[in-house]
Amino acid sequence: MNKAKNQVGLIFFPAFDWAITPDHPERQERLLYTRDQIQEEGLFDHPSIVEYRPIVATDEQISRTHICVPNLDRHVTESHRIAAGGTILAADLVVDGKVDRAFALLRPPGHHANRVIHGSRGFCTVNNEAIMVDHLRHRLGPDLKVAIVDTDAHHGDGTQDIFYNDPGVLHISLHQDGRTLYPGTGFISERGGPAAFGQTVNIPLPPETGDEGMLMVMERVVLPILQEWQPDFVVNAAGQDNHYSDPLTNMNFSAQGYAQLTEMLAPDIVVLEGGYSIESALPYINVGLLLALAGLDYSKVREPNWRPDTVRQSSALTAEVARICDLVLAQWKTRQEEDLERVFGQGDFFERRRDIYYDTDNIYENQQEYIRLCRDCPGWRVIYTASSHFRDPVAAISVPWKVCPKCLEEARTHYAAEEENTNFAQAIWQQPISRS
Amino acid sequence: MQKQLGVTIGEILVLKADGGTMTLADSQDRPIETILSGPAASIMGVRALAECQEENFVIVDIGGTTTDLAVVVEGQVLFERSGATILGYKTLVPALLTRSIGLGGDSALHFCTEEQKVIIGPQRAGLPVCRGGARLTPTDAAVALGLATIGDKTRALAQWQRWAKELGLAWQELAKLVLEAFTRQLTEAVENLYGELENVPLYTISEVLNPPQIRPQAVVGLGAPAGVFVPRLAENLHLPYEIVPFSAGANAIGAGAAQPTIGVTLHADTELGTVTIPEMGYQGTLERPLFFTQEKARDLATTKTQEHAQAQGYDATAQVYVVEEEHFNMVRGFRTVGQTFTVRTQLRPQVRKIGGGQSNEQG
Ligand SMILES: [Zn+2]
Ligand SMILES: [Zn+2]
Repeated sequence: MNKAKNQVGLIFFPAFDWAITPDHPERQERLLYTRDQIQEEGLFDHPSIVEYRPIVATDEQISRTHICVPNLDRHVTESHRIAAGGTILAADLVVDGKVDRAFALLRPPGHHANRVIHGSRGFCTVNNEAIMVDHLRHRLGPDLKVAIVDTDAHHGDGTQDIFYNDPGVLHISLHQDGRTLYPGTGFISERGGPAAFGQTVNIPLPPETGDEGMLMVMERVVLPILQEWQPDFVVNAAGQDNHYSDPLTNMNFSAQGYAQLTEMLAPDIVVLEGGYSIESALPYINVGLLLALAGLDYSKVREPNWRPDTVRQSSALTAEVARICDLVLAQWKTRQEEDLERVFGQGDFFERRRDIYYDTDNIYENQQEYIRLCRDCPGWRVIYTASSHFRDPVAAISVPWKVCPKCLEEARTHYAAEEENTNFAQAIWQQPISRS
Repeated sequence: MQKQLGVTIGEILVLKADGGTMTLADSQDRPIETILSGPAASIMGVRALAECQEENFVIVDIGGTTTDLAVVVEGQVLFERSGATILGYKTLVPALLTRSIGLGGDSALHFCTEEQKVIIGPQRAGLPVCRGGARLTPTDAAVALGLATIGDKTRALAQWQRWAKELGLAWQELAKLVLEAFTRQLTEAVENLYGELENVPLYTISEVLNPPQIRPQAVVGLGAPAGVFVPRLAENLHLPYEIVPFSAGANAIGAGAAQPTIGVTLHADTELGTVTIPEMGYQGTLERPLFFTQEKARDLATTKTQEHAQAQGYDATAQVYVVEEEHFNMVRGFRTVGQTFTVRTQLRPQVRKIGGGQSNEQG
């Protein structure tokens, strides 16, 4: 038997008894073929791959990250709690030294779920990896630095929303250009909030980008940025809908490409996101990914219908990807030289107004957010939100990890005032607290 | 041969790893099913002899070299999920779940000076001193302390005194440390086994929210040293216990009491509209493939098992149960184009009930 370099914990949870609707692409069978492939390749029997049973995430763990309108139970079902719990377990297994790396191969996915939840967006209700990152900080302290590399074909807009003003998190998303695919965001100009400017890194790729382009981005942009930022943990939000056979996207990645990406990135924790080519892509990508995580030979993993020209990209496309790489890297290098007052304006608060569409549930949300511009901490924020589904406006006050005493005091005063304010159906208080 | 012995041999049955038996003729068709019948015999012995009425209990078979553990949940002995494992290879041969640990009446003893404790096994010391061996064993501890009468007690005592003197302990103290170590290691093994079973992956929400309750409500022991060690184990686990009678020969009784069993594997494919049962050489068509369900697959497999059992001369009235089943939607694009069903059913392995044993429960 091949000797593996790494012990890999696998939290495989296909949720065989859950789907949004019977014909929905995010459905029971999504991971069935994957399980058969992993089983047939003997990976469940390999001594370096150990399977674990997921745990159920608590209200406390979910509320550390999310603000649910009107309440948590209205949106969060058992399936979401188990997907989030399984992701938390993946992190715990690594932290406790039980395994070297962990793969939360589970559904439903989470990277389109924002901080505020009125319903489901892009098949996501709660953000599994964001809940996990906040759990890690709860366990290990707020100084922890976590990098999330989102390789799903869709922009990881929910994760970006949650961490865009969070100096403890570096969020890198490579995805099909938002002008050609849901959710229509993730442009190079989206770079993060005043307290974490430059730590939101978007790499929009042209449709038809193949393995060559993706690996170029890894080599020229992602790895140098990680090398410089020196995170304590690297998380891969491993969407698999970049595959050439995926029915929802126009990208051209293959299982070999994914496996090479995994080897290069060497993530501590991998969390499945999208990927809807359940018979032609997921089984092969996941086998390659598991082998690469364990440090085993993956060179023989090939889709049965793969041909060399399937994933070949034109030289014009390669030149375009190279141009994007240069742009993103140049922006990263100059992030600290930017005049933040010019970007975010002067004054006490930075304001953000947004209309958010929940495609899965057909809900429109209107949101206004004010973030306190503070020299000593990322600043407290207040979010006013209402939606076509929950029309009564809600005021949510959220304080960041490592809040300064002055901001905490201000936030409390403001919360007390909003509680009295009859314009709002309720006032919600969110404050993450570290155990250590 | 029959004539020489002066007896008539009716039918020769071969014990299988799942505790059932098959005819000699069947064993020629499926010779692999004869593996691992030893542990199965002990478990069937317990089922024939034990009086334990609990739904869940743990079976502890203490031998000379090893102790074998097996688990009963809701009155049924647990099976290995992917069949018997031989030298690390999964065989898919249906087998009762057993875990073997290197701890027995003849195990070697080591004294750990720093911690002032004894570690037992996993190697075998050979025959106990009381039975003419050279090295002390857990059996010698039981004999010296008057908990068992086996062989020459004086011989064992002399050796305990010699060893205790070397270590600067009273011999009684040393022998008690051995009993404690045995009980401690046995308790750990039982805990580990249940820990492992409780970590078996579950793939549905309903299972994760309501994981099966498997923890034992009693300990059932067998094997020569069981009388000494099982009560101590049960005390550690805060459980009642029972020791089956004819403990040392329960294994052979189990093999004798096991009843024949036979099964079939049904494959149905609604896209092709076919049903096949390899064991029967059966190939049929589904009349209304769109309306075929898991329930119907199970019913069909059950009927076919009874038919097959009858044709092969088995007791077709025995209960048929589902060994494993799987239901698969075949998806192309986003459309379910068909379903496949696999159901493996079998006559439930039975034993003839023989009698009860001693226990610490009244009544
Ligand atoms: Zn996606
Ligand atoms: Zn502050």
